[in-house]
Amino acid sequence: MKWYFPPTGGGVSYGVNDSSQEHFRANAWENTIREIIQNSLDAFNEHNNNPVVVKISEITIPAREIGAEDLAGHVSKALERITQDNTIGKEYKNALKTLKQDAIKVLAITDTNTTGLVDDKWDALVYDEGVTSKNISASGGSFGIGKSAPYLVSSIKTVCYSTRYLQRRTPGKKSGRMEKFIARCKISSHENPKKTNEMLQHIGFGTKARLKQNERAEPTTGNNIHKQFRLDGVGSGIFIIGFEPGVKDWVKIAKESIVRSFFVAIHEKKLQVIINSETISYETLDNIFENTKKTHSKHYYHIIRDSEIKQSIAGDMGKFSVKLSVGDKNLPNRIAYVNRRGMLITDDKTFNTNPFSTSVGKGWAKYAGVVMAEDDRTAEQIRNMEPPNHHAIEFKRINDERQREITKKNLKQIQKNIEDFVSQNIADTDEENSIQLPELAEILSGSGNGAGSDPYHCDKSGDLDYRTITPSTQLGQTKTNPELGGEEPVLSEGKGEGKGQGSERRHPTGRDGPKHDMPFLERQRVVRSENKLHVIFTSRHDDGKPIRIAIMRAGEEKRNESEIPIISASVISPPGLDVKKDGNHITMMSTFNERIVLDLEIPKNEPYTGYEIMEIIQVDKSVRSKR
Amino acid sequence: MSYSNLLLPHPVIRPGGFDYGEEYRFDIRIDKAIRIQDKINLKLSYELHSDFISNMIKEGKAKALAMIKCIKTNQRVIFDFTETHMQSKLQLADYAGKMSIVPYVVTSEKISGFRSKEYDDEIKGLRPNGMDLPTGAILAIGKQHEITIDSIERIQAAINITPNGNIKEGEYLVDTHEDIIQILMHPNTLERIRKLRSRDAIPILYASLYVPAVEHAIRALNDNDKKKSWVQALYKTLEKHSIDPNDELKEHANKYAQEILEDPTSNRKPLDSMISWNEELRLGEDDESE
Repeated sequence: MKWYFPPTGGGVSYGVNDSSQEHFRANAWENTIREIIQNSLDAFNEHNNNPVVVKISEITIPAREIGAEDLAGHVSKALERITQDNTIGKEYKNALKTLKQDAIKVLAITDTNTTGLVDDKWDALVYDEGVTSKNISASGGSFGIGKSAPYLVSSIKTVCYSTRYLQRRTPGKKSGRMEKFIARCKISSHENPKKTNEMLQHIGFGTKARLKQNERAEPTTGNNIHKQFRLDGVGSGIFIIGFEPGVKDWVKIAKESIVRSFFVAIHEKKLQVIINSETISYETLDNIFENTKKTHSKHYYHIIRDSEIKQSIAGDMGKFSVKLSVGDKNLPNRIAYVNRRGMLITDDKTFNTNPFSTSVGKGWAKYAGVVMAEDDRTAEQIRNMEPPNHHAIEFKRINDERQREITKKNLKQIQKNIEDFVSQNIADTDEENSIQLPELAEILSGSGNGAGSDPYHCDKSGDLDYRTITPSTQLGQTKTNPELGGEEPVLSEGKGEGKGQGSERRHPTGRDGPKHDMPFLERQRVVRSENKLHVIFTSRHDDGKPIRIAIMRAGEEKRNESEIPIISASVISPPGLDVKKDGNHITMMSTFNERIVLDLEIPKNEPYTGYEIMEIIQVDKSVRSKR
Repeated sequence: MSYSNLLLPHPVIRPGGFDYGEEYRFDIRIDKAIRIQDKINLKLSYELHSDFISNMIKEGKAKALAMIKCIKTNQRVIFDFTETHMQSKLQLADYAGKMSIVPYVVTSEKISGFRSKEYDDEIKGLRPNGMDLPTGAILAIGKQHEITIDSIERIQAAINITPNGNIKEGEYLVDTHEDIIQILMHPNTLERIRKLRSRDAIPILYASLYVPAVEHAIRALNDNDKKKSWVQALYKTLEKHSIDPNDELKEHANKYAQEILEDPTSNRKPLDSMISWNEELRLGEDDESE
């Protein structure tokens, strides 16, 4: 296959920006699939009641079959013209990489039960830009630029068209089975790789047909078409070369996009789509919707399938059918417009993009509706207001001011009729959207845990689960109250000290667990007087047992740093008690049940805080390790 | 850190404490705990049995407060008592499982020579000339009160505003035939009311909507089934206000409605004029049309 980019002949050169593609760039893959299926629906064979069947599958073809080497020369020249390292430059470099591969990934989309691309349809698709040949009034497409969408998902900006149809006997034309194939590449205008200083146009054609001087490139025909591009029956095929959809799971997205946009066509058995081996059809639509992420289209589909609430609305804008669903709290309060081919155009909530939207909204029962034109004339009037991507209905697209105002007025009339129809059919009283009045709840208490309950007497009585916790019966001692529960005991461990033995801080009241089930230092008290602490407790240790204590700042982790520095220690009571200061620890001998009052000097800048008395106990490490 | 266990360097009234004599106590009472929509309404009062600290509160040297906290959500808020009461509306979402309430009395200023006859003798002996306390020193701690959130009664008003497409815009109808009183109005009117409510304009609604609705309900009270929630609620409310639900009820319905709703305004304004005060709130300015 050879590539032919016609010379500009001194005419205009096209740069890298293709305005026709911009309408589809956002969500390129979704837009592509929508455009292609819409085109197939437009080409349905009216002599045949079978649904249009669109098959989508991924294949690979040998690079030589698309003239990769020849095309790479053109892409290289186009790349040379890009001076900045921009997105298009990266795309062209990527294209060259793809063209160097032996086999290239291709997305094949073929349709059957369609007319095929007969005569001017082929010409409009292949040779014309911005020209539509769709003379069917109810067709979905209208701008002739929807064909730009697939180039966005081709890494080498190349799409091939194939068609097969039966040519009737016409004077001057061959009759019988016709098969055509051509490849089409859209890059920027570039210098002829084989002829210096000759600029070539931005669109090139790949064909096996011999090129004639000053004539357009003719398609490859009949048996000369590579088998992977030939069709089994009447219809057409689009082959996206170097398929790069730009999404992780193109099959899933395609399925979702198809059911979301074409649920009416599928439900009405006008369309069937087979992606790889999975069929989206009338029979499978329910199941696919069940497994598709939340979409308003599911509600619209149920309306089309089941709703008995319907009305025909006529006005100067034409005749429309409206179907409604009301009451289900999940309904989106939207009205969708679906065209005559069964493609969802819009369910926007603003008049400017969806003139069938209603202002019936919050406060009413939930509803959703589907509007369709009842005849081709009406459909055509609406279609004329669609943007190229067919995602809205915009009366402002009408150029003639007078005509625009008339159309707006006519659309307003239809909108009003739809609104009335919706209002008549949704419930009068919508309790789900009631306003609760909490400010009156205590004045007129209608329901609580029981209706008519009285909020003025709902303290400890009744069902309120309530308790008081007495944290201790004695200062510094946490004791679990068996009736009311209590606080968890806290165990604080200090660092090991000494040889063969470690030291451990223990709350002297038995907080550190069952092994110390009795408090050892009772009725504790600490009284601060400037730089002095009076530390008072009653010992429950046996006579003669040494007691070693540290005073900790309360609320801190029990580390050495949270010990309060002791400058000096003296005894107030009992007289004659011997105390020893060892760093910040004070050691004394116990006399059972004796009240001990110590006077400890601390730094002046020691913060005024709460305290805890910690007893330092000696732990035999060998014994502890055996536990 | 729970203050209930630490040794404070000055005398404190607390459960199980012995800094003061046994007769000196501090505790709170939960007067009300209800859930209304997304809020917990809590009403507490405290009892302080200590003339010494009570006088400090009266003199402004100390104040009573309650710390409300939730271990699960780490929510911790402190509320002051006004006189001996405290009422707070807590966000239900801030609490899970249980909430605990611990009351405190703390100093509101530095105190010099802090001493009391109410002290235990040992303290009196140690610091006969009293002691100096910083601002915020804890003077009393009450018991910890713990409430299971799910057990707090959920209260809903026996009256609401319900959209009804058959009511003319700007008008309303009070329907007492259902279990609760329904103020029916056109959905568009309801949306305006919703917006007013979101802009703290509820007081306007008392005069324009609530008083007339309750007035209507009072007139209809004795003719209605006593099993209806709104009928039971209204009887209880009347009882609380010592209003006898006799035959004269209908004659004074407006007066009683104002009394029940504690509405000081008697200048009733029609609903539609009330709505027109807030032209900016009118529907139709949003994007539904071009």
